[in-house]
Amino acid sequence: MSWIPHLVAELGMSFGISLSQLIVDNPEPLLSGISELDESLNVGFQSRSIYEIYGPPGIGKTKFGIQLVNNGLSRNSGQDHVLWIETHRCIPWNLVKNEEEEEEEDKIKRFSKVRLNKFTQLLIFFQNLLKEERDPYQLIIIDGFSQTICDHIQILRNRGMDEKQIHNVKCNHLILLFTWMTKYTHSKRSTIILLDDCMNTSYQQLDLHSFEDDFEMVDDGSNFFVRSTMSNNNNNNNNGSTATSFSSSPPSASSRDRAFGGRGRRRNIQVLKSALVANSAMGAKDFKWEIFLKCRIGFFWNWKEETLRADNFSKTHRRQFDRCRLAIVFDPHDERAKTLSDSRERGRKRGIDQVDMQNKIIKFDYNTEEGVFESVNNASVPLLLSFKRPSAMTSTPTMESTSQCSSTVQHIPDDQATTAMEWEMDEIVHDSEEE
Amino acid sequence: MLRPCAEKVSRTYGECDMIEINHWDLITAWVSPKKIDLAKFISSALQDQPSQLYFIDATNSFPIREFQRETPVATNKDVYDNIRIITCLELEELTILVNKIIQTIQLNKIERQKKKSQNNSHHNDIQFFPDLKMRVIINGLEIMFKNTQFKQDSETTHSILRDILLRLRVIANESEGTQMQTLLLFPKDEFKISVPVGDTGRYKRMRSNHNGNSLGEYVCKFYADRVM
Repeated sequence: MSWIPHLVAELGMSFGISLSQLIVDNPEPLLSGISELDESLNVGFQSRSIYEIYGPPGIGKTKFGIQLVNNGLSRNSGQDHVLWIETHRCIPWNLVKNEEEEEEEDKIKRFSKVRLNKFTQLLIFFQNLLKEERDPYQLIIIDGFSQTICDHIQILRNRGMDEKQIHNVKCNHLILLFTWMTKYTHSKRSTIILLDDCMNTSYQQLDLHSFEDDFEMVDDGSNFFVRSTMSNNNNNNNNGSTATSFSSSPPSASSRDRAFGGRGRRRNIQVLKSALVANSAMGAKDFKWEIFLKCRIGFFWNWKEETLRADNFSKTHRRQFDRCRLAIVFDPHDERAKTLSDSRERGRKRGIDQVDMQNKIIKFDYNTEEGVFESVNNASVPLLLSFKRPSAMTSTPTMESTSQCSSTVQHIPDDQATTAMEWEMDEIVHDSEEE
Repeated sequence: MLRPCAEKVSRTYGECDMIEINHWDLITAWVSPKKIDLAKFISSALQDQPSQLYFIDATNSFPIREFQRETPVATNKDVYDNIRIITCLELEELTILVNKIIQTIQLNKIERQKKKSQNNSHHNDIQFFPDLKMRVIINGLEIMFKNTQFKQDSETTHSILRDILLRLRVIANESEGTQMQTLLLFPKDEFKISVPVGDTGRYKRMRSNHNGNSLGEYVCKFYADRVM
């Protein structure tokens, strides 16, 4: 019996959109071309949403963005319009696919680009874009968004603001910008994708000593997740911290000792996060703007399993190691809910051995022949999820349980350093655009 | 009697697994619900007819995927028609929406009275004129508040917020012909102290600090009947 909507509509008071209409009106999701990634995003990137993709330099964020542009231009029988916003780097045109000449011309007509490298430019641009009556962009990609924000923060710093002020201003400004973006995505049913760098947490200048005090490894066999052990997590989510134990034993009271090197000495741990968070204005209120993001996708490197077997590990030269890429997908909204229920559960029962991690890990790589990213389903290159680390290896991508994709690097004391460790110390510095 | 937020949380601690709409109060705050739980709640809230649900949202957070799993569209078209999704990013917009909801309720009341008089009201009221069950879910109140603060001074913003929450309570208290319940969704991070301390499961009592309460804490402390 659905007489209420009729009654309301008849009297001219209809507002909002019914769920049935919303489902019908929503354009088909934008496929990335990586089937497992699409599956984890509910059949692709959804309209009316903002996504963040971040990762270290050279991992292929821009290439992936271009792949999305190509898919976006081919979607909806070639009716969609796409906008690419450059910030500090021009779009590499050579990477844009060359199709048939006629088809290519049509695509170019529906593809626009604009260069905006200041925060205020972005803000005004989105305010004006909403008012424009031209064809809406179904897909907007902002390449290097985090760098624009970092520059903005630097300007604030140069004005003499203190740390706390800068953090507050950053959060307020991001809320403002994301509000306009959200207005645009909702009214035009479009998708915005931010391509961001990542940064390690040692960069931030705040005294966040507690930030690195209470990380512990989640013993789900993946070696990818850390979670905060701060029971009274009164700071913004993230802020757990220390070294993670990579043994397969469940986290326990002694895990903290292990994290501190077993001798009360603290190891130097750096957490790799989105540069939108891990910048010099990092702080406890970042969650206030993070909720605008539908989903975060962290791109990381991973070693292929055969190169990491213990016998190979010591014999093989660094250059012979094969890498593949991983995308860690997580929903910040559900992540918060899970963290809360975890902490409640912890209240009921002391100690948790296993946590049902719902974040998805997708293995993918760049197909140089086709020039596209695609899932890696080759059985000979299994995903390294149950790999038990050789004792000498101490670096692995990880993910904070609360809201951040991250990668930790543990710096081993000199007296424990081995030959194999020498290359590992600088692992987070990647060559750019190696393909 | 007003209870501090932390006590309210601990009172309802452990009940989140069981979502029973009938037990919900006029204004309920739900902290970081899982999408699947929210979908279940919405599904159960719309089982009784006639009912209408307004999902007022500052972000695109309606759990469509989970809801479709929970309530297949093929057999529940009416349920899908009775959910209205509304984007709202400022308190002024929310005020307008709340006013519209009030007007809808008033219209329902008039319609109901009309029907009653036509039928000489010798029928059983409950059977022939069931109450309209109206649910309002508001997600992102803290964003709306912040966005309004950019335009207005703090005092005005607080005044608008208070006005909205009081209106919602007033409508919910008017039970004639309409049963209205409001659910406010907040992220966990809004509640700095309402998480278990250590592994004991106990909650710290809310203490004032020089940073003041967050919006979530303020609303839960003074306006919500229940916090989950």
